[in-house]
Amino acid sequence: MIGDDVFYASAADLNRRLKAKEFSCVELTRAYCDRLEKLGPKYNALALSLRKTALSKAKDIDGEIKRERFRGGLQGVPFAVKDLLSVAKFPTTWGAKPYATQVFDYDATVVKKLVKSGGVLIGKLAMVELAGGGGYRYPAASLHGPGLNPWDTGRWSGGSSSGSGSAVAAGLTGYAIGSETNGSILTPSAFCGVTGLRPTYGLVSRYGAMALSWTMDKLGPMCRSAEDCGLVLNAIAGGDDQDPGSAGKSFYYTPQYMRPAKEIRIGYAPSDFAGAPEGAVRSAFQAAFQVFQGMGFAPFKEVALPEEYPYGAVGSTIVNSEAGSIFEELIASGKVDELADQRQAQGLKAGLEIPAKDYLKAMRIRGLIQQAFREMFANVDILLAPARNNVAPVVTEPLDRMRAAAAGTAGPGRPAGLGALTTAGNLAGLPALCLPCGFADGLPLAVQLVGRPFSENLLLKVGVDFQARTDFHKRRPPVVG
Amino acid sequence: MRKLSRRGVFARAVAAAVVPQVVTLSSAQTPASSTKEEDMASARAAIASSSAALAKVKVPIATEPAFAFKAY
Repeated sequence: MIGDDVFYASAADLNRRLKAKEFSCVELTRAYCDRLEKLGPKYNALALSLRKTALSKAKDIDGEIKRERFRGGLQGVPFAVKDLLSVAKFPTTWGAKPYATQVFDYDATVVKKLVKSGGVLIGKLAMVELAGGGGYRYPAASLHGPGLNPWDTGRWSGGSSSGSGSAVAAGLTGYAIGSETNGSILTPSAFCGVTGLRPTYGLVSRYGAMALSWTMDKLGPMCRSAEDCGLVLNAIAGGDDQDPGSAGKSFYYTPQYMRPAKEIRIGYAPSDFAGAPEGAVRSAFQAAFQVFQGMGFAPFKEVALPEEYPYGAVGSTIVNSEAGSIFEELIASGKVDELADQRQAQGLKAGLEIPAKDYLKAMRIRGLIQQAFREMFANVDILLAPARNNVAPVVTEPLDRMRAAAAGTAGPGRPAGLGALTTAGNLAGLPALCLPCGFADGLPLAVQLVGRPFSENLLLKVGVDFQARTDFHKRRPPVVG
Repeated sequence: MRKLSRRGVFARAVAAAVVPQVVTLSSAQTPASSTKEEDMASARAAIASSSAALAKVKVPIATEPAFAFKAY
């Protein structure tokens, strides 16, 4: 019998129960497909069900398990991917009307790797159109409608990996793949209460993924635990000649080899926690901070990002310049006006007007920001900060103000401390782990851990330890039946 | 506060009326709160604002753009 305990189980647990023959892979896959097809549309999370091919694959997996041919911790676990990843012969819409009938004849590298690991691809998940390139104003900027949050369907699920966040939170898939250019894994993970990992730039191949910004795009897992993020990253990481941005590095999930907590130095900015909105939000962040303080780390150190850099302006100039070039043909054809969000359509067009001097200046400042992080990480190993400083906004609310605040461009002054960490970390290509850390008014809150390039094992170890002391990642939303 | 055109005021009123439906329609357009021209002006203003912010930063002359980008 497949019940709620199964739908909300971690990928590691699902794999263990498949091997113990508590249920077959076909039974598990069919149950998840039923749930994804039934509940996915209620959250505007489903782009495409792949039931037929999934059940065929599940049958093969059952045969492998019967013959005791085990492939690893993801074998037989159903998963779904953001609809910016190509799956051969099926539509890949990039969440946008102008690409609604687009079909590729090859699989994205991450899809190939997960299938090779024994994963069962059950569907493609909705997203903000073109991953938000150009700057959207409303959550409804998607071919599939606004991403609705399983914790409260009047709230946004976050973007641009909106369907990935909702689907993992509502137990519609074992785990999901999202993408991040400037917050698109962290934001929906934080708003939906799931554990998301933004890998180091270049660690995961982007071959077969829509490009929004060549120098900033990353793909990563969105799961129900930090351990699951490690298992998924283990499967999808690695060099790929087909991705020019590939770092050519491998990753093996080995948290057991990390140094003890007492040798790990955590950097934080007091203003990030004390300055959170008053009431339940601040209380939750402060309680989470106390949990970290009780984990036996070396004495915490106060840190802050340099205030002289306009992180938001640097990020938007780079993303908008590159996105304008990438979608030049769409813009020239006039089909860009078919996008659901007209502010986004005009933003893409305007991206072509950004002067070369500004793009180059932004790329030069980016180098200085990297240097600032390099100096910061000489004294600390991990940066700890809120992933978002508030709960998910109302789904009809314009996003301009929220985005500006996150990017560090909000007036009257830019946020102090690590307030611009999401944008700054993306500019420097750093890995980040988003961990659910509490609730305010029934909605999830999360912190982010940011580390040196390729320090994912360290972040995951701390994440696993935090989740051993808390149960926020295990809580279930009041799923609409 | 930005002055709205009559068309903009009308569009906002219409948007307010249709917003509840937008949430439940799977292929909904976003609320039309501004005209195409206003959206383009807003996008250009954002670019100008970013440009001004970038111009204020002094970059050492030896600093090269992060073209061959790698996480540091």
